[in-house]
Amino acid sequence: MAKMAKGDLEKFRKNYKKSGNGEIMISMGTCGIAAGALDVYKEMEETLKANGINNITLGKTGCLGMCFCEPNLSVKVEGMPEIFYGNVDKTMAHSIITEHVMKKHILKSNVIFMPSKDTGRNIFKAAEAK
Amino acid sequence: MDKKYFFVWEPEKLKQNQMYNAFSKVINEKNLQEKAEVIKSLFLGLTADTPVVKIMPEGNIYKGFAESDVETIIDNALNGKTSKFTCECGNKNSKVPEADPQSKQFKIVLRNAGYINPESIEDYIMRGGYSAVEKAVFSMTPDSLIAEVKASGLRGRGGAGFPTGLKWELTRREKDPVKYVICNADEGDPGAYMDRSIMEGDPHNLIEGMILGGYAIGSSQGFIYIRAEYPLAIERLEKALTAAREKGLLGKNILGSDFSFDIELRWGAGAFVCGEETALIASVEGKRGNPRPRPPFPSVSGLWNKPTFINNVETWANIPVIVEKGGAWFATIGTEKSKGTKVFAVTGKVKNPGLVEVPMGTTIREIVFDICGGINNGKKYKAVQTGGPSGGVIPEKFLDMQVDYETLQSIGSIMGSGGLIVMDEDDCMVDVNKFYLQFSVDESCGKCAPCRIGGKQILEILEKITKGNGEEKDVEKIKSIAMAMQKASLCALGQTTPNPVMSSLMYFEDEYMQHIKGKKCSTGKCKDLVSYTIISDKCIGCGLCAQRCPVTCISGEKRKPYLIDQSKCIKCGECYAVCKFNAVSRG
Ligand SMILES: Cc1cc2nc3c(=O)[nH]c(=O)nc-3n(C[C@H](O)[C@H](O)[C@H](O)COP(=O)(O)O)c2cc1C
Ligand code: SF4
Ligand code: SF4
Ligand code: SF4
Ligand code: FES
Repeated sequence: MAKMAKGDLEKFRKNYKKSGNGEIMISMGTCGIAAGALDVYKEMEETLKANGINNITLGKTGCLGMCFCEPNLSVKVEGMPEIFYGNVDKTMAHSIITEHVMKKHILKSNVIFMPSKDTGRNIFKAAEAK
Repeated sequence: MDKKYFFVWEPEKLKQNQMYNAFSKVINEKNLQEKAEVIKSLFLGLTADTPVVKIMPEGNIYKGFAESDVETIIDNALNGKTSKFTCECGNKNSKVPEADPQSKQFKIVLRNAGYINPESIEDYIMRGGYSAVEKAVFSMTPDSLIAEVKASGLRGRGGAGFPTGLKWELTRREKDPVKYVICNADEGDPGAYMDRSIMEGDPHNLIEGMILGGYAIGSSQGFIYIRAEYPLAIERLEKALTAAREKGLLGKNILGSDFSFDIELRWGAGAFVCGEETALIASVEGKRGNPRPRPPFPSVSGLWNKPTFINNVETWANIPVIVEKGGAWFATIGTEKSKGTKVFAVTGKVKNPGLVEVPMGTTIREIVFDICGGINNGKKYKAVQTGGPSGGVIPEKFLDMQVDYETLQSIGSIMGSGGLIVMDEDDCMVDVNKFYLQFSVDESCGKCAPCRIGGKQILEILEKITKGNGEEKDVEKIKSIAMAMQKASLCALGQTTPNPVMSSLMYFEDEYMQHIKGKKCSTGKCKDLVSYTIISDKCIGCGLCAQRCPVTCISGEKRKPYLIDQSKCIKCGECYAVCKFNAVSRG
């Protein structure tokens, strides 16, 4: 990978495009993994594949700080608000793909409120470009 | 038009269902299924004035409304108007527009954790990452960078709260051409996991902070001293270091400038004392991790006798934001002498334990009750412990005190690294302190006598008290040993070992006295001081306690008073907990 020089960070941000039209981020710190996040990840990976969905990014993220409801994850799908689910097990992981992602139905249980907005976005102007 | 989503929250299930039904009813009656949807949600982090509803996508939060207001709330939302129930639940200590006006939390250090893929440098860059390095190396002198850090008022998050900018300046002043930068990621306090979460969730943030530190003092080499028990953090840091080097953001000629800086990891074996800075330096050098007397301070003679400065993970994680936004911006957050935010790992008897980041000056009530949902199982708050085995307790009367370095110190506790353990009425202060003392005694390196011998002596006195053999003069004895340890121990481990017991004596002396004079432990935690008996007048003879007793030492006939065989009772307290007629007495 080419080394960056002065001004390249800004150029990179301008040209960077995330592929796909949705993203699932699973909290996978030591805490989340201990609570079973790896199983949730695998279940989602398989369900996405089984249904031929390839425009949703499945990602790992760090600890969100909500220990009381791990494993937890966020789902961003076009045309819907970002939703957080807590205490996710394999069955739920499956339904999140088949119901939420595929039919745009928010599950009736285990929706979590985010304790605060994503202030990181506010702190760095650069982030707004995204 | 975009569909609106109404997230309803209420701590009581029944009431939540009612409110959910109220929303559903309006939506169904007015045929709004295409435009509005109601969702029951778990925890929101605001307990006062429920119910609460959050409307997405705009994110407005309303609270304290009645079922009769639901129709108006829905109509307004669909017409792009706000309702009058706006929740003013922000934090008055985060006076910057970047903060969320409807949240007690403000995430600066944890701004990316949980949002980005920590293994993707692209994700970090997309959220403004490494811009602070670019800004510093191309448009700031090391002195102006240090001036920003000083102006920010940032103080060390590893426990002692030493002003970070001053520490940097002292190290910069040293003439030696070789200097080192160290990150203390030893995180040894029981119950603490702030640093681990930062490293696992946003490793580039720490790396960027250290590059800036290196630039400020003119160092070309940094080390991260991390516990080997953190394999995932180590893996993610290694990946992040490699990615940063590949992109020219770390290593030789950063971003094409003439500034070079690299970072290596060093694993710690997990001894608590290795978190002390002089012991840590010895350990990085490959020696036994024992503290040594200061001065000389590491800023003068540290790693391999070179000027060195050590900062905690969380301290480092603040630096990129300070450089990007300026010291003055940072200094508007928090209290007069404590600036910025603090990450706390809230554990213990609390409904929603977790990792929270709040501006300095937030009260314990806001942290424990508003953010973390209050005490579990409807029990009564007793105290929180901050600073772990070097800290102290905050009793109920200080629930509304603004938490910062000074106020905590003034009431006999410390900020510590961020562990916050919540205790309820079932926790016995003497018993809890036995645990902390045991921890410090186990972790003492044994190099100096006051710590090695004093800690053990206090522990023995506490054990004696919990066994019912306490004497009144024991309290005085504890106090004088404590004084000797505070004055004569070589490092802060020994100096702070007596803190928890001293602080609990300050607020809960009567509980100690109850153990010593009354030979009683009202929480039942000290098994030698408690006995369970059945009050025959109250017992209706239901037999439930006899069924539950794990050693079957309760006997009796149905509908007649039952009896406990004291010689077999193991004092587990089960009978006391299950009897619905208050017929079991604990005393
Ligand atoms: C026994 C003992 C253990 C310590 N453990 C840690 C630790 O795990 N992490 C840490 O950052 N500081 C720890 N410290 C404090 C460090 O000595 C030092 O003050 C700190 O790393 C300085 O960084 P700061 O100014 O950013 O807080 C410990 C101190 C003592 C006496
Ligand atoms: S105070 Fe305790 S830990 Fe510190 S040097 Fe002395 S014996 Fe070792
Ligand atoms: S549970 Fe209470 S009322 Fe029932 S037998 Fe035991 S002591 Fe008596
Ligand atoms: S305290 Fe425990 S062991 Fe003793 S009588 Fe009650 S249930 Fe049995
Ligand atoms: S430690 Fe990650 S959610 Fe608790």
